[in-house]
Amino acid sequence: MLIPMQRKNKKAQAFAFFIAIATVILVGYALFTFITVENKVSLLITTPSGLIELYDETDRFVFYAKQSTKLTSQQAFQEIAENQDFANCQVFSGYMVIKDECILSKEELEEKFLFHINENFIKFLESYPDKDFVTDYEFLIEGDNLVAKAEEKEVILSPVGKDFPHSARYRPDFSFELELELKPEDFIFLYEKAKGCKAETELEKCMENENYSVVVTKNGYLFFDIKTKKSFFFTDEKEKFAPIEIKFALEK
Amino acid sequence: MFKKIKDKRAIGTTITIIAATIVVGLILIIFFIATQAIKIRPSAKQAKILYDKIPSLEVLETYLQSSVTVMIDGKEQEITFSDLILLYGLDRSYEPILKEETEKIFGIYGNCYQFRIPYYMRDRDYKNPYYDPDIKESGNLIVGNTGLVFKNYAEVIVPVLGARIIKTRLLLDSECSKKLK
Repeated sequence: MLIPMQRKNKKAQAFAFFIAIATVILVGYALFTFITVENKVSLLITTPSGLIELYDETDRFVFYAKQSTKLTSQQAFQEIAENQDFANCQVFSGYMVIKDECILSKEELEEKFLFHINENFIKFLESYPDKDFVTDYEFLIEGDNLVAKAEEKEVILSPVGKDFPHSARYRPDFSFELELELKPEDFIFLYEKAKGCKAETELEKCMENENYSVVVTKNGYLFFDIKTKKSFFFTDEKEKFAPIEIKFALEK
Repeated sequence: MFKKIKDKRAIGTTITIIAATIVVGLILIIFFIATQAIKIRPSAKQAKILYDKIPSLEVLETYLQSSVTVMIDGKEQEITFSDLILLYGLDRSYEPILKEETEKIFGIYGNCYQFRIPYYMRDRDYKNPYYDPDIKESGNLIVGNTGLVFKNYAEVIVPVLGARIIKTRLLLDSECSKKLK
């Protein structure tokens, strides 16, 4: 009597085991489908206005970051022109003295330019009202462009009414590129030009440039007062929209 | 097959295992839903299809990046409207040209728009860069139809020297929206 019961139980246990495995597979499949479909449904049906708002916020921030970068690049150029702080170079009465040992390198200029951009850009980021969208940037110069690479940021959103009924993570791309109107290598170009024009009788004509106007005065030295033809926004003692000045002096 | 399984204990065990598996599965589902929030990426195809900017925001952004010729220190210079707004932030004498040129841009919408720069930035020495709703807006720079009910507007923040901000706002009413379509 006992032996047939055991045989019956073994069959029942095998059946139970089979049913359990089948249930696990079904539940797993249901779980997978539920999660993937949930994402699609949320994106397609339940959150369009929430998504549009997110994209608009991203757009607004990128616009702000771009404008801030434009202003900080103008400020950076002005600070380099004003400080004239280069290795092996001297400054005489506010003019950088052109000498053989004073060599302006592209690397040094770009490093200074990017340093000033970073320094000022942070202040602009701090002023942006929606802190959820503020992210860190790394700036690079590639040709005539300033590339702003944004650190990957995850914006965590809380459920908001009917428009956005779920909590969500959003990874916007805040990176952008900006064409530089004032390039750090303009300093090298103008410096070398002033050096080369030394022997010319018509110095101003020799220095002629579509972006800069040059006035040369002779007083022991040759003083090159170079100004951008266009005005830019910058702050020295006060906030200004004015041409940026670069000053070189050359011993006669 | 079922005929052979007459043992009530075996049937009970089977039902218990199935029930336990379903319960565990349900717990797992709840756990995943609670911890794994929905991820939205800009690259998602579905999101891209849905994305369409609010027309007034697009119009405002385009306006801010449009060029305008302004006399600066006796010389003509082509600048963007966002630069002109910065100039206006530095020097109030640029207010008439800002209004006039803005009217030219939005004039195509007739009487169904209103562009506004809130009051607080009219004082360039104002230290707090953030908008304070308690500051009355009677001193706003307003262009367009002042009679429009100003809500649901598009807003773009323009950075100003000294790391301050100017908020620019544009309202296009339903008539304008029809024109945009």
